[in-house]
Amino acid sequence: MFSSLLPLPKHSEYATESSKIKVAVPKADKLSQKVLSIPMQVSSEKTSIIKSDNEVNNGTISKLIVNKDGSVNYSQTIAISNNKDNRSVQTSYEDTIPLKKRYPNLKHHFPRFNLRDCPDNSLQTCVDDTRNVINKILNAKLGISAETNSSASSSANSNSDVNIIKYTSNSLIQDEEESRGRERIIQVRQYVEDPMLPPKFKLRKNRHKTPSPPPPILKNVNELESKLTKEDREKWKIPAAISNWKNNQGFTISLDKRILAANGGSVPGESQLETNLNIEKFGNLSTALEDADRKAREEIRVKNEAAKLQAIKDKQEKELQLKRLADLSRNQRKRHYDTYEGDIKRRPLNR
Amino acid sequence: MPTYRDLIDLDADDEETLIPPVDPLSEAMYNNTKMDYTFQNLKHTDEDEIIIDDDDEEDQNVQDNGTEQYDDNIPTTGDLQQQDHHSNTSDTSNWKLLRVLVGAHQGWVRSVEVDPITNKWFATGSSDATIKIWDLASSKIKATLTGHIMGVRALAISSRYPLLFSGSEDKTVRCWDLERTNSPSGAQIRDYHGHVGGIYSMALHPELDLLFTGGRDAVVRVWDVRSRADIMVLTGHRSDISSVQSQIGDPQVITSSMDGTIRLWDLRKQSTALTITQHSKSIRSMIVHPHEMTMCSGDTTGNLKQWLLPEGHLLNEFGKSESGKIINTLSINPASNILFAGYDDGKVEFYDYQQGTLTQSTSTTPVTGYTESTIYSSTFDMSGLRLITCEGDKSIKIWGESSI
Repeated sequence: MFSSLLPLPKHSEYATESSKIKVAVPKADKLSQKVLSIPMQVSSEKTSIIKSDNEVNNGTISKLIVNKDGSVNYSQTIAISNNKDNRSVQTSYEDTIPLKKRYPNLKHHFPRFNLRDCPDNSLQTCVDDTRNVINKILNAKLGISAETNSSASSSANSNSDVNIIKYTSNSLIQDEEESRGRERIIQVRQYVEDPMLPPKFKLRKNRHKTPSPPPPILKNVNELESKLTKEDREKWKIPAAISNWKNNQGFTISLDKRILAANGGSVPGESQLETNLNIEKFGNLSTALEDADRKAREEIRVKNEAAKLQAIKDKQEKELQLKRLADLSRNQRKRHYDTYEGDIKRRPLNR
Repeated sequence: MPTYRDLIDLDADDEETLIPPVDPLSEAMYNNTKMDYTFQNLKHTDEDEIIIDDDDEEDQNVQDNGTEQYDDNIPTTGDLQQQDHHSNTSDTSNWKLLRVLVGAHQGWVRSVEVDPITNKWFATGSSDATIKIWDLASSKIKATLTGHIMGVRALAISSRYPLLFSGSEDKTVRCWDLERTNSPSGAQIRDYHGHVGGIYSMALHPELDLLFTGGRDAVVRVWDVRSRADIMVLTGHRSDISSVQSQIGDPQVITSSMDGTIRLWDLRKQSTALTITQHSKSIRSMIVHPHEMTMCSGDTTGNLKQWLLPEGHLLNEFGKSESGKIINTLSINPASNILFAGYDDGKVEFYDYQQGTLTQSTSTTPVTGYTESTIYSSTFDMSGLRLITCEGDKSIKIWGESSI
């Protein structure tokens, strides 16, 4: 009750004092000026729209929608006030009742017209307008403006693009002569470029290429219709792999598979069939090899024998020579001795 | 307004005046215009004329019904008028499951589109990231387009160029040239980057080269088809955009969103022209009628609302509101004015588009191995004789109306 007399809490941001609240009360004479004098049109339409000059102030109602009897249609007015573009809004209770219930004798005849059979040109104008709007947006998006062609030709010969700017240099950098900054007049004009010149900048490789399209799945369409036969299905059947060493689950392994495994992946009967040697030529080869071997051995034996004989011959020769030498030396010594004995005999014994 | 009587001399005896010489180049275009022509006559003829036609041609129509419709897939005006009257008077239709393409895709089939020109093939997009093109008559696969890396949620086939557009959960929009489906370099010729969320729906402008896409990121992007430029971004929705539709006159783009609103866009101002907030739950499907200035939207409680187009007035509302009835897809039969609604639990409902009365309510039969089959996408073919539904059991189902 007396809370207004209590001191303010320190954290309070609000000023509760009545003196601080500002209330703008419009003056009486201004109000009287603003009152709208509504000209009432008695029209045959259900509702009529009155535009006021309030449109300058945002947020206020600029259009009053008035019923036929002159009363303001509040729901329509409020619903329309919020949107900027004049869209229609269904606001009345009657809008929720179907037309066929409201008018039980309503004939169901609402023909749709084509461009060809439309009685008036409303559809054609609608299409044309839309096409123009779309083209304008599209040109802006694609960067093809309708002005570019005209401006390109005009800018080349006219000087309308030339801007003349009066520029005052910074006052901090002062010239000696003038106290203020120096003034310059700058002419800015578009540099006209020759469009036929080669490009100034090197074209770089487009590094981010669009990925190549996915490979086509080439299917024979007619094949899709034919069903898989049993043989085809069996062809695709792949048996589960079972280890030969470990069979915890106890899968049955057929006998032929066991034999296969025991023989290291080959059927014993099959191996003979598979080794189809060319026996005749293989025999020829082996006999030829044997012959060659035998010949070689014979040659080696003959050579060895000859070498042996030669060695014996050499040995005998050597022995003979030694014997001769010994004989020779023996004969010489005997001769010498004989001569010595003969001398002694001949010599007189005078000593 | 000119009627077909002014354009074609029906009394001429020789067939050469009626039938133009065979031109293989313009054959497809001719088929389409012929079909369009027959349908638009239906709407613009005065009531008096219809009555006169009925008197004159009733006997012929009964005879023609069986033979001519099924022979060349182009119903005559007389047939159509009778169909129209038939749907007005009777409260039942009898659509039956004719063919099931089991295992059409490896995943949920999320989107389907019929070629608007030739009406001879349709394309489906799936969660297995492929687009498949099927022959409408024989239901045989014609081509498989791979390239997306996540599920394909939206498809659009251009009626002016041989191009197919696809939007995917992988945030990309791709453009496929259908004349290059067998080339080794692949059919894809363009892609449109810019979305920051998966794309759930797309539409092509009927006259201009514009592509509208919307999805997880709650914005509609407007692409120039040729230059791949992102022309506009239409912002305003608060949640995923579930369907995008386009038409010639204002509003040129209409979107529905998971925030429960439908927005009509003013393409010239790049802003919302009207926001319709009358659905209480999120809208998964919204479709514009091909021959009327109306559209229809269905929310996740089973409410269907019909709107009158230029201003977006509520025209009619129907459909029983229940908690579990999530409408996944809507499609309108252009010939007999039937509205099809496919539900999240596999329920199928046919409504009379003009009256809003339920004419048939059944359920799909899921493929063996599935207990329930969500209907993700549906479309009627251009002649209105077949309904194609794409479902969560990885199958495509083809429905036809059996003559009782």
